[in-house]
Amino acid sequence: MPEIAASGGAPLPRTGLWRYLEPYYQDLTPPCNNACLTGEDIVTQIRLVQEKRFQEAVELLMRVNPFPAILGRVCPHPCETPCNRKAMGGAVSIRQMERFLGDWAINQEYCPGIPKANGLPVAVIGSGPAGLSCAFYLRTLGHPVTVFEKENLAGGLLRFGIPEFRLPRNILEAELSRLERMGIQFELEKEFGKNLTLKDLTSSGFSEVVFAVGLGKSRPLGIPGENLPQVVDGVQWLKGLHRGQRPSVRGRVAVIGGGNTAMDCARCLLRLGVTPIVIYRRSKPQMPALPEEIREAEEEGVEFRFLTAPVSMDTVPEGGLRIVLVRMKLGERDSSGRPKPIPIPGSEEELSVEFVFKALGEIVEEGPLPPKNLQGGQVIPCGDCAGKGGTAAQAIRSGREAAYALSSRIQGVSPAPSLPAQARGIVLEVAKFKQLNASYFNKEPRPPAPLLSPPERAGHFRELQGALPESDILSEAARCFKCGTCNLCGNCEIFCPDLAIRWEAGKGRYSIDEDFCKGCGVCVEECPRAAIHMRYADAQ
Amino acid sequence: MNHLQGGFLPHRDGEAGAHKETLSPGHLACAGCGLMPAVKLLQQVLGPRTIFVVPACCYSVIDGAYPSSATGMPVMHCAFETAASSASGVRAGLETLGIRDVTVVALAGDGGTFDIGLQALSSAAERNEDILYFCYDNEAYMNTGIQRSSATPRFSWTTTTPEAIPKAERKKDLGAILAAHRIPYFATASLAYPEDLRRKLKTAKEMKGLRVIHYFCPCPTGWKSDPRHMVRLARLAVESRVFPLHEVFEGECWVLNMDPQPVPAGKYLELQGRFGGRTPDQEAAIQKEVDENWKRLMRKVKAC
Repeated sequence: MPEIAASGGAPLPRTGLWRYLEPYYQDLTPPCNNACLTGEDIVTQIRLVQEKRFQEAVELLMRVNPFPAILGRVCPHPCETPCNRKAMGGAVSIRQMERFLGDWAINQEYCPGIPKANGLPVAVIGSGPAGLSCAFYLRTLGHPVTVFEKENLAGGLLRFGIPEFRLPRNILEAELSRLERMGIQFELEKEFGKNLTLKDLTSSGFSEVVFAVGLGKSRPLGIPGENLPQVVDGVQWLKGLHRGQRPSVRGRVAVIGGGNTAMDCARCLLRLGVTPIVIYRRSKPQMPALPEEIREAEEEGVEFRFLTAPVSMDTVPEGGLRIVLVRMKLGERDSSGRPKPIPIPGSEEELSVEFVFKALGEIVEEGPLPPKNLQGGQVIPCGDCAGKGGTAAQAIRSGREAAYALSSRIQGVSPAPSLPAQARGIVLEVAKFKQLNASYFNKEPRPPAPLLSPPERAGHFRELQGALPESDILSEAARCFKCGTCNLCGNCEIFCPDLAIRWEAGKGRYSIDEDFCKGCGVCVEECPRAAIHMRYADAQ
Repeated sequence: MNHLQGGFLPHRDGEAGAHKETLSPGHLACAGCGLMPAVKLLQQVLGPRTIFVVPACCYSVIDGAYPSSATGMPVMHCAFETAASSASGVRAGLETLGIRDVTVVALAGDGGTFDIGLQALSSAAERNEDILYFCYDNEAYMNTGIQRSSATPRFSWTTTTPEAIPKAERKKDLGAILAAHRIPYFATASLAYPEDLRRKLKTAKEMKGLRVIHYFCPCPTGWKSDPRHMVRLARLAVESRVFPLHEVFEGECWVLNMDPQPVPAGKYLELQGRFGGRTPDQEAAIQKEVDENWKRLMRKVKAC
């Protein structure tokens, strides 16, 4: 074969000079990452899961959430709501994936690497999600940590609030045992303000104290008859139930409230053979309970009376209670942003029940912690008592942030970024569906998660929702668009007419050769996941 | 086709740089040229033992002015009408020298294939010359100033068919012409389906005799389209059935490669300025022609 005749010697022109637009690589924030209550880098986790790099996925996950097996079951998963996959077969099962990783970590007895203790011990008061999360991160930052809990078991609301059919206790125990393996000390039956004081703590060498004591006081109904013996405090009742008590409730029971406490009370009562009637003063769309809990309660046969409020209660000679109810209508929006319920005069009716459950949620307990003590100095609040709770996920984030803030303060260093996505240099712009190139994706359905049917749920407290099998988890990981993140698919390189996109060996990425890119924009258009963008060539 | 679903994490360092491109950047194609990614794939699949024979067409300019050449492989420039006969001559020369492992590729535009070079191609087909003829069809004489060719579709603007009097004739059916010659292999290909294009090039490389690839080549300059829509147009042409992907073996066996959910031809037309003056009637006529062509093709496919 002849040599290349006389050619190849002269330099080729720098055709990049023709350009007036130029492409650039920039990852955007995926909508799931943006919505995550704890701040997980969900898309990177999914990419690791897809490659079966489960350990790395768990390591990344636990940088922001120490309890994936718990949140993988009880988180309201706002990450799935804005998922761009919704338009093509349904949102990716992100919570199931988190649950899978959490269960994997439990089965592998995974424990994060712990630095040597640094001699700056911290006390954490309260062992709910915020306190446990704070303890976990303080420990990974090198602090010896002791958690003080007023009950005889750790877990707080995770143990005494969330019913077993949503969070099996063996999962909770497994996640808690990881904390013990990490060297976190637990001191149980120590209630701050009773058998534990700030003086006790300082004299035992704790210079720093984190308060994560939650709320602790039920919101009152504020109507006559509230203190009758047949009127039960829902939060306390759930606590007793989860301690193993089987209270003697029977017959028809009115549960007053529309939040998760009300749903949990009603669903537990139902499983004990009682007929609960949920009474809520607004209508269904305004209920503060998780939509999933409301739907499941309805499936199980819980009776709802919306736009109804109790006015008074009194006993009847036969032993039950008579409640006077009034019908409500929705008015203008109030300070909570929801329509204000207004009683309709003359619409009163009576309802006979055996018991009434107060389930309006909780408010901050007055007493050992006057609000002024909650700020500054040696005391850092987190979770519900700092107004940063709401869901377990938010409490976990609050605990983590408190740990990072506290640690950087007492170690005298600038705060480390606590979110892995920050380290990836992404921008705040959220990747939208219309920015993706849908031609590269097929419509594929979301696999249904195993769920006990309503009749199968009766009479026991076993877990409702099952786990997706590993094969489904892997196909879900593949189904994810990876919005806004370059996953090195190589489309830009294949379609570049100018050979201006090159793989950079050793750097693990593509780069654009400015000398030859003519700025046609094919790479931007054909990027399936909006990781390349266009700007004027002199914009930089 | 879904070659990119999922993706992977950075761990390709081992294989990175494994295929060093032969084609050089700095070639003179317009921004968003539909031909260059195909030439890149052509070189990747055919390998370094390849000789290009290029008649007057865009690529004769794109390659660069003598003595520079972007191709990185031997290129023989030849007269407009002689792509197939020049390639046949190169093949004959190699035979004489006893060289049998070289692929001879004729790289010609639609003008040099459908019109000016058709006689040479027909003769080469009749002799069943052992060459790979790659026709990149950008549907007009783009290199000389966007004059209409017999590959220009109906109602398209060109400089010789102005918007007021768009082209009235339909596009020539190259596949049927070549099938009538009973050549071993004919295939249509589109950049929007790079795996399909790669496979067809590989199939062609491994065969003997005259193999013709009819490559659909979006041209932002001549089609008055946004350069960034180059691949999108290639994809829409297939999805709208304007340019169906199929293969013909031995002129007898017709195989359809892609049967996507059809989209209206209007979706394809609306992105191109060359169809900017179309009336609703003309658009309906184009759709009717597309549907008829599809039926004609399906009759042949089903007959096999």
